[in-house]
Amino acid sequence: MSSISVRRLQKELREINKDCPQGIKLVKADDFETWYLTLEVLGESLYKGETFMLKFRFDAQYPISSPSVTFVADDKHQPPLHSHVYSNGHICANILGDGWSPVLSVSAVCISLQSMLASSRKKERPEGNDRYVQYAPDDPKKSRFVYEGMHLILDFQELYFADLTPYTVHFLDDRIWEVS
Amino acid sequence: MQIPTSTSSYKPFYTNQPTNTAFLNPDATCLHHLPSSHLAAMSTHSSEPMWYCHELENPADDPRNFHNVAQDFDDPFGPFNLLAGINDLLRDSPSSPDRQGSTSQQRTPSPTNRREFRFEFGTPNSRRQVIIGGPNTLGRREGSQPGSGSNESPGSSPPRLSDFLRANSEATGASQPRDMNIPGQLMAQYLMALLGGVPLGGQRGASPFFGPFPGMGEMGPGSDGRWGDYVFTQEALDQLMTQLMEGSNSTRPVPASEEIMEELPREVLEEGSALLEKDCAVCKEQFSAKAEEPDEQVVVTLPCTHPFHEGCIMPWLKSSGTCPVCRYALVPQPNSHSPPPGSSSNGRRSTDSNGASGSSRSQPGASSDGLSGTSSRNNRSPDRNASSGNNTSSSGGFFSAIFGNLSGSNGRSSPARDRQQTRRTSRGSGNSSDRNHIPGGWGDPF
Repeated sequence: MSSISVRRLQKELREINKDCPQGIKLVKADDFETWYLTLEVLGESLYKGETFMLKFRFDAQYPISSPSVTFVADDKHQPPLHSHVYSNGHICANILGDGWSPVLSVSAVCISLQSMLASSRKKERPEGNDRYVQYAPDDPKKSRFVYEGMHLILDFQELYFADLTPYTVHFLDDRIWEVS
Repeated sequence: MQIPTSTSSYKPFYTNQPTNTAFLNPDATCLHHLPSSHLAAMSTHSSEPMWYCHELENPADDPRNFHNVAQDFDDPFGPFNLLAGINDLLRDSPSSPDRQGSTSQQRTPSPTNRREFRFEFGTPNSRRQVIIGGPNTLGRREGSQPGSGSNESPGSSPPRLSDFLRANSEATGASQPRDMNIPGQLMAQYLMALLGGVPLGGQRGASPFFGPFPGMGEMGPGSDGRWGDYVFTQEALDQLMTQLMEGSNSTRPVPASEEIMEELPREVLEEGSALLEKDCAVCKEQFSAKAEEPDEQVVVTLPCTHPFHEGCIMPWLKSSGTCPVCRYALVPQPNSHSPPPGSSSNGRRSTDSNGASGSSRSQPGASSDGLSGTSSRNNRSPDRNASSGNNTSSSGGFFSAIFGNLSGSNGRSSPARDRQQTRRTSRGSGNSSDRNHIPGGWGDPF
């Protein structure tokens, strides 16, 4: 691993150990490749009293490249029921994909996920969960999520369907389709 | 050439059973994603109302007879009477009488002596007429005018479906009249594409038009679940979506160019520099004049005034030409817009915590000028939506435009379609803020 990555993670580790955000606990950080943290949603929320386990995987390019973050789904832990969390623990959140910035950190991601859960109004799996889980790569970073309201810029020469679940493609005009 | 005339995959075109409602339903512009078993099952419901068949004046025109007639027809085009009619029309040769008799078409000589092909369908209250061929009313290029179909050189580019849409918005205006006039070649080619015979995109086979029905012998979804541009399996859909999304490149951050990176102001840290008070947001270390590595003695300040170690920021700029702190775009980014008000209805806004708040994501002036590439394409959308006005009201697209509100007569539909219908209805009911949604909001990926 590059020194930048290790030094950055060392620093984050020190800070998490010293001053961990509320509701977040570092469970295991034996190396600079995989960390486990638990996450609780504070205050009134649909997830009150539930504890979730998060798994972070870092590569040598961290923090230039985003960490691979999933909720642990095993006998002991279940990912939260949330419209952006698949049952295999993969999370559809743009900060973990194209919206990543090296300014973000492990604790920043945890806080973001905490507030994502806290603002949830309905406990449900994402549309197309089963299908996604069936074909999802092990590493969610290899998944290309269709974010809500995303506009696909397409040419009609490339695509001729308009209604395909779970994506619904709406015509906005002849080149811009909206997927929701 | 063998044509499996009675396979269920063709039925939608030739039966008037509810499968047709899928075809004509504006909310289901493609029925091909339905499993064919589903189609077959649906078409066995003989108790379904003949909701458009009674419009036919001549019982011989009953489309249900099409595939029966076709069976003792040697002509490979036999089963495709409708298409054969179109084909004839484009070749400017008269159709054989028996073929003519079994379709619901009626030919009308057009003023320009081009052949014309009309068909009508609908309920008593809601009828649609489609005219194929005839005079060119859409101002299309001479080379792709109806009637020139079979003479067109193989290399010429096939029409896009967008031509239909444009035709729609031009022809309909605000009042959405009931009749459409579509150049024959476009319509025919589109229909052929539906059947998988001719790729509209021209990726398969060189023949731009009917020709010998390329690929007809192998009709039906291939092993990859793709059939022409249609997908039949979930896997194929995933694949296609991935392909399109990667191809469209609309979300990937755009790296900064070498030139831009070289021109960024650099400062070697010295004692007393104001920078020593600050941190590098990438490595989270304070700037120090006593840094060991040379990388860390050089500080690069981005135009947004955020400073970074040269060794920290350069790798980032190679992957994304934005400021890690405020997302100031050094190069135009796919989603470099300020979020539209109210576009964030869920917790996603909060998923970006450190400094990159909504307002700071809007670009400082200069960088949003002279956008090019994906960014400008994105930028165009609000304008285009605005200018095309109620074009978006036909958000069901081509079929919706032609087939209008037939969905009301659609007695049965799959749950999935119901859901889509509901969704689209809510969309269609004049939620203008939704309509004018600008890409790059918080709902969008970066």
